[in-house]
Amino acid sequence: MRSSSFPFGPPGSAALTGSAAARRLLSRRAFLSALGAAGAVAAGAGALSGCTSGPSAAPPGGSGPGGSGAGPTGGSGPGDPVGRVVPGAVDGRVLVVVDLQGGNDGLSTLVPYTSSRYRDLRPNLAVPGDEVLAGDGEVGFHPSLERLARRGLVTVEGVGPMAGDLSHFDMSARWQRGDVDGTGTRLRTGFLGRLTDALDDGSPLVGVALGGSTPHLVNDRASTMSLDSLDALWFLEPADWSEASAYQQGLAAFGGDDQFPAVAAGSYRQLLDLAGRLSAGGDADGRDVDWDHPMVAEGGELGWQLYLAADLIGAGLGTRVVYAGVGGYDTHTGHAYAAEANLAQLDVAVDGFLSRADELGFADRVLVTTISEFGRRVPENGSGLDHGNASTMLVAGPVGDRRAGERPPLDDLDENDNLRTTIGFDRYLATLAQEWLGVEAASVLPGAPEPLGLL
Amino acid sequence: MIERHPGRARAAHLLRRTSLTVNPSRIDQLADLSWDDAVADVLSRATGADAGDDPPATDDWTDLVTWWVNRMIDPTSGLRERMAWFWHGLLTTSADKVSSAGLIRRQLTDLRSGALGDYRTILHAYVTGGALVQYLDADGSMAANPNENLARELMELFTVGRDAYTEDDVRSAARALAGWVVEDGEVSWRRENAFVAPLLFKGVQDDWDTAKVVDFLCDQPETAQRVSTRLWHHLVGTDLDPAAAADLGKWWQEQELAVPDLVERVLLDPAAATARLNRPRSGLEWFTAYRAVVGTPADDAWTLQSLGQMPYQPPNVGGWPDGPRWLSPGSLLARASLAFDTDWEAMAPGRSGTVDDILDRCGLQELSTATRAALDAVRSSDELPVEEAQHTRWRLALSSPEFSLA
Repeated sequence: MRSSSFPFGPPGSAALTGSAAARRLLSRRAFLSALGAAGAVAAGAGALSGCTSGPSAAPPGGSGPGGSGAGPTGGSGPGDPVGRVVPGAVDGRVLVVVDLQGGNDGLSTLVPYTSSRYRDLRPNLAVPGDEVLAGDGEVGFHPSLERLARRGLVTVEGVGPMAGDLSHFDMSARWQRGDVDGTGTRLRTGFLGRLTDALDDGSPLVGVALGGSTPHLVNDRASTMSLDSLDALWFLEPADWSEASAYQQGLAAFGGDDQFPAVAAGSYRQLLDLAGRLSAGGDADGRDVDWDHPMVAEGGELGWQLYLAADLIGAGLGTRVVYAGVGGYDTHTGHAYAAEANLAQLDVAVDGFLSRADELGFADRVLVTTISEFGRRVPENGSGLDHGNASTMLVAGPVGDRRAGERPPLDDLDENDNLRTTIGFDRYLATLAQEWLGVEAASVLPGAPEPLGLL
Repeated sequence: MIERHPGRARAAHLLRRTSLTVNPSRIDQLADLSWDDAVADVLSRATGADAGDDPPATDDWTDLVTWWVNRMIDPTSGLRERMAWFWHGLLTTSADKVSSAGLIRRQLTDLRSGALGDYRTILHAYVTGGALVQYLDADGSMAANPNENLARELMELFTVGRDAYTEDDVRSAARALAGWVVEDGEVSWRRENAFVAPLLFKGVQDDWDTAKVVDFLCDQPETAQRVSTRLWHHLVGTDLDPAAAADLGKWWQEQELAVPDLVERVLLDPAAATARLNRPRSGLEWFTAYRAVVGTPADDAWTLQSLGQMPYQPPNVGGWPDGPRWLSPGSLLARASLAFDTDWEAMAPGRSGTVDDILDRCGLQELSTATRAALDAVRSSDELPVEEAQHTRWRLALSSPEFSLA
């Protein structure tokens, strides 16, 4: 039933004997320490930081039954919209959001290679015109985006905030909330979290975050969590191994009326439920990672995350919204090298994901989209680029190949020398919600932003 | 909640908040003292001793994290390591952007030795340390075309906060902070890169430089209020209403930002003694408590990555977010898998299997009836031999909701 393979492959959960369990513990411990060593080596590049065997740390706040909305405010905030699915929406579609954290430069992603103004403002950092890919006479892709340029994708230019500011935290929070103009600070849930609630059908993993903490998925109802490996649940899967089952019984008995014990007890119940469903899904023998797969070997943290995302979506856990965050885009210095490396990882990771989606049979119902808190300053500061405003977003999947959005003029920058926003990012999010997932945009975003008619 | 012994429960609460472990012998020492006397004991122990050994010289920064985590776990560790950890959360740095472990070592030495000093001194050392200069892109910043990152974060995160500066202030501060260079693991200031003419910053025309900007920002009431409110939240776990926050900040400014005074004032507030188990332990707080209980050295600091809180690997310059997310399924999964996978052979000496002994060792002097019942329900049987039943009780105590709370 589960045709995909999962990372970290100790054998399946069924019929563990005492000695098999002991072996498993031993091999797991050895594996963890080997991983620790690898992690330490790779720390400088951060390349393996997504490869921890445990779940990712500080996962999304929203957490399904018992744990959901468990923040100090509890319950539904007065300002949080309640999502609605539009009648006749295509069922089962999945949205994968790749968050390029730090602020991705749109002008290095989709390069205005024939603009003399671009070369004037970026004497050191302009991408040479003879290197851009799939150029149309005005714009072309960064040479690192080789696979995606060949595959074809939709680009959306000019996406940004209204009345933006230059703080990572304010702008990240606004994207998380779906708050284009900074007036939605009372929103307690994240935009992606509201999507999971709108799509909630009781599935065990409607939303999942890879690569760590995100407020994007904070929600009220649907079951969501952060995960780096499904095998992390091995000791919670039903087993006729009394040491595991006695432990699981104890976890299930946790509870209490006080706020935090109740939250923790709810989280344990959710974990036990998920482990039970994974186990019922059968064949765990196939949880092997193809370490030579280009997206794992060359895709860095993001490649690893999207490799796991493909397995998760293929596992039939009802997953509809996936968040993958990757850092390294805050290129105040050394922009040229960083952009080359970052975009090459993005390229191999997204292309590899779409290829795996094809192999696993869900390529026609999955969309990969980028977000980023802001673009970068148009004039360079030497070797780098300071915080910017509007940027170019990428949309890959069964949606064709075209340049969309509205190109911000390079000769009319804002007061901080940044690109002006031509498409409020709430309209971009509205497009993903309504035109792809079939969730009415006005029901999950304040201000009823109009979808772009892209998909 | 079941309070097993009032004095011990009070002592355990104070230790959970003021150190990074709950040492049973310290509970014994504090159990008969009043809250105020116990607070005085914790403070005088910490301020009466220096930071001890410096971190080891190494070219691998993860050695420094391992060393630091072992300092935190040491039975003699107390408020100093707690405060050094607090400062690292506020004044954070990622090793990914720092070129040498020596610079991290220098910052860690400053944080630990200065942890119980005053905020102004801590901030000066942090801002002019090579690790932060590199982390926030001030390395090589030239006044003619300055990098804004350090200037912005200095105001937004470390001092006055988001509403107390303008983009013009960022540009001016960036010029004033220009001139720092890191070479061969040493930080220096180059006059030829700096802005040496008078400059308008925050409406004041002056010969601004790094020291003057930091001093000016430390003199602003917003700085005292923001930092003291953050420490209140860390130590007490509750929100402070705006009037109380303003009072606390004003008072702390009058104490010239002295850290021990602020800690004492916060802990002597009636709320501090009574607001118990009201915030989650973060990933590192759980890990140090866990390691201290199982008694094995923390030679695997990378495990902290899976717990979401590896020192010197913050998610961003804002540090690690707190709140109920630390009790989400993913977070508890990481904790439970460590608890389940404990090396029982290594902790065998002194290990006992009775529920009360386990709770004492874990510092769980108050707990919910559900947790107590879950532990009491574990009985040995034909399927669950005595030793496995004992392991199961330990695993459940370490996985319990209460052990995940601060």
